[in-house]
Amino acid sequence: MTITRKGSVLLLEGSLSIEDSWELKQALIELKAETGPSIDLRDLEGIDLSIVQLLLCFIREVADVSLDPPVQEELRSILGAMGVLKC
Amino acid sequence: MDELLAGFLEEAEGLLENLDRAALVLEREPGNGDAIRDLFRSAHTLKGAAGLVGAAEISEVTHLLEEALENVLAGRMPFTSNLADLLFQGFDYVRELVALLASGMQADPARHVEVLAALGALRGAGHNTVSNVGPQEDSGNDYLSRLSADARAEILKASEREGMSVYQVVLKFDPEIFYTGQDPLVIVCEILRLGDVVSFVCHSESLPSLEELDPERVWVWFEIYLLAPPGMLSELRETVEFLDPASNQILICELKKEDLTSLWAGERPLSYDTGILKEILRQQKIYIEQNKGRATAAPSLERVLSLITGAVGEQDILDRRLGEPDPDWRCFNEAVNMLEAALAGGERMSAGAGSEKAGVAFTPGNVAVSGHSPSGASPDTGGRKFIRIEESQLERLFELSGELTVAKNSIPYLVRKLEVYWGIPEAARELKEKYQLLEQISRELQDMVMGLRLIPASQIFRRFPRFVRDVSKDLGKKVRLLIEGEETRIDKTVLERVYEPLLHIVRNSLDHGLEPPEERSAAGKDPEGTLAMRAGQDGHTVFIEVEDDGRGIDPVRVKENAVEKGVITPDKASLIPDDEAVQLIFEPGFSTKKEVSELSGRGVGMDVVRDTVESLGGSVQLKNSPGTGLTVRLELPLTVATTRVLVVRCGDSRYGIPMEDVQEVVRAGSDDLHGLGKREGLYLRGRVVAVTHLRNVLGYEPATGGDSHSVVILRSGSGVAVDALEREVEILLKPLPGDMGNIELYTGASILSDGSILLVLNPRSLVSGGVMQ
Amino acid sequence: MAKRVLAVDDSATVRASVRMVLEQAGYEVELAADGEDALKKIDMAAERFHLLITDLNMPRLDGIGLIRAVRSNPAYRFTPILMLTTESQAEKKEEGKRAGATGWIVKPFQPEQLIAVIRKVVKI
Repeated sequence: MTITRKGSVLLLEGSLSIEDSWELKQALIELKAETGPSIDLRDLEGIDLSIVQLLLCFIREVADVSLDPPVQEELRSILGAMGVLKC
Repeated sequence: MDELLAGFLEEAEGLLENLDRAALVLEREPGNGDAIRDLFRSAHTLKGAAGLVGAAEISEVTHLLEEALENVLAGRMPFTSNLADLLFQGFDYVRELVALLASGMQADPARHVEVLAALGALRGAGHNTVSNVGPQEDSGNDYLSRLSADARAEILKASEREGMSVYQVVLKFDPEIFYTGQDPLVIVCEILRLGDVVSFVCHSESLPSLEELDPERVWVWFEIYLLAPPGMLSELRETVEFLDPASNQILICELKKEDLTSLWAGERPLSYDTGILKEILRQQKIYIEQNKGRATAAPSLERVLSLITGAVGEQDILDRRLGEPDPDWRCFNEAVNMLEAALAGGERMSAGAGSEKAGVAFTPGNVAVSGHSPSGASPDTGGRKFIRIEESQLERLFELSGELTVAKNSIPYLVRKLEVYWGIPEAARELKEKYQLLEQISRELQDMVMGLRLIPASQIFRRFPRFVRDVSKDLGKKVRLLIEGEETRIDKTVLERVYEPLLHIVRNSLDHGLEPPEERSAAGKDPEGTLAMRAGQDGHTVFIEVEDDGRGIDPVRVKENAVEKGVITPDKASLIPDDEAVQLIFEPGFSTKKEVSELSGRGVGMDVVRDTVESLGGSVQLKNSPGTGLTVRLELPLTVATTRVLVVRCGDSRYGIPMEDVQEVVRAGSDDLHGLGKREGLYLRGRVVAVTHLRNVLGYEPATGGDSHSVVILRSGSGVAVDALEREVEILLKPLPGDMGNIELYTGASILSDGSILLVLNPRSLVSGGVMQ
Repeated sequence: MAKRVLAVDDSATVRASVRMVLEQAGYEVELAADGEDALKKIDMAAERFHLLITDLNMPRLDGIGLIRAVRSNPAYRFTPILMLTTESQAEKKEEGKRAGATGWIVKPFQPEQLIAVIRKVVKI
């Protein structure tokens, strides 16, 4: 799994879970400072509630963030149901 | 040793020093707000940093410490000497771990477990609000009662499906569940796979801000409604097999359509279930509890305020809110207490009538207010519960509800200030959220309170049979009275104010409208005349009409009378077409001074009737059939929506400025106002406020210099200087009729209680440099 | 990427059957014969395991001890751990939960049962 940031884009790849949550939190806090932030979830392969909570928190606070949904259908529908992605 | 670790070691040292220091201060002064906040922040930061570098043991220990400190901060746990001891023990152990980490050595698992066990005593005061140990605090019906109309519709539709059942699943996980190796998301997904999702909500109201979020805890809970074949209960229960029932609140049940319909059917728009009232009260209480504004109160507003003071140092705001309960919150309290008292009274009254079904917290019922007398209960009581509320209490409740509406309006201003002036957008966002919740509750409360003011038309209709009998006897007329639609509910105030006008209209019918029996026979009519009083609802308006089958109004006679009384000139009279002539009866001066109301002692003409009805926001219509009868129809608004305005004077006239646009009022001497282009500026608390003179806007002569002015500071940030301030009044705002409605300067007008007209200004146009020139 | 499972049981038969069932379901399986063996495998693993399944009665380090040791490993604080128990081991099961286990499977079990339980705890 990787969390990388390129400017105003945060790239999340592979399986993310609670063990990565502090790192993700830090990355999201830093992302808040960017204008026009976006999170690329296309290559996301795994997720858990801890990660979902962080994402929910983020989108609640940053109105103009754009999210690239995961390619994997199951993940897409989970994130949609949780309210992270707008269907 | 890598850079990240080295950085952490340094940071940890500093934080540990902080922790020691703050704890010592707090031990000496247990009430020291700064110290506890410092302590909590340091522990929280240390935990986060430890997590980042993978120092799991440190993370675990500091987690325990942070939890305890949060409880102290929130006032759930006192800072005792014992607690201090444990904390110091914890800090020392963390130092040990840091030293081990620095020297590349591993922690001793046995010792670690030992210390954790010892520090377990820190858990004394219990966990925070997300999960409660023990039995369910809410029943399935409680959740059902809180569902939105849309969700209910979906669920009802699903429950109609033949051969399928709707299941209700509520999952409130142990906030610490991650440490058991379980991911709640897996369970949720498993459940969703077992059927078709009818409704799925991930409740995130407890989700804190990103900075405060501890990602190792669960902050959200789930409410799922699933459509699946009958008998799925056991499979559903299996998904949560591993969850400890003591720390996880799980509710899984199969819903039956009849239970749903009976639960939700009890709620009609014009009556209120005790269940809903209770829920509103409960939410209000939680809100009050959370926002009492005292230093030891739970987070939310308090935390936002401390964010402000932490960043800006404007101690006075915090002080003011901490010193005594904010008057705004007192509003809440009063309103809530009154409602509770009313409910309690009602329930005591009907104790033994309804009964609590075992295991079901919700008791279907209706709350209606009996107006003036014991017989005020609706005709079809049929097992429903009623409560009696003293009228004065109700009035007070209504007032408070209105005050609440106004009081909460100062919050958006604070939000803007936080965002722009103080530059703390996170605090602004939190506050905004709380405000939205507050607004929701306040609106619901208002609606509810308004609803309590509706009483059936029968309340006034029932006075008429006697009146009609007496008057018709005096006048020697034979009249049959018909009453229809008496169950129509109308706002209490409206009904009261409309009573006298109705008396006048009925009297007119009896006096002038209905002919004596002989005349009627001669005209081929039934010697007994018919007078019908009807009430009904038409969308958002309610009507009351009085119809008689008498002479109707003779347009020729009306015009003659009008000319006679000097209401119009003969020339004018000839220009008026016959069917419009009836409207002349509304002209002031049309009624003879001899007609004096029995009740009020002053002249009651149709003009007063119309004024009264219009001041309520309604209108009067006539349907005249000369020779066959007359119908007078009063159209009335369903609720009396009032606006609060500040009455100001400009020259000899009075104008209103809506209170919701008013931030504050200040007095300014001429030398406080400085030239600022075409307008003037007022220096106020470090800012310059652009001030427009109302005189200029309205085209009056400019004020002579040397006067001091009252300046109304609007929420938009600009100010308006007026000649004098008068009072605040509550009015019924009506838009200006016809073309006048296009004038931007005014939002509308109202008739004050003394009959004068108040024009209400549109603040937006006031500060755009004035419109009239 | 397949999820990695470490299955620990002192019976070779159990180990073999668990491996067969799990590999068929698409998991990557490693085996250990007792607690100490398991800990060694964990230490040497290049990648973290996503699930640990362990019997409770084993020589050297038994199930409970293994669970405790695994939980105190920082990388495995949040890893799901399933216990293989028998009907009569109710108390041990409780002890296991207290030590940090996530859930359990009762022996003997059908393959479908094993898969079903695993799906309740393994992350998505």
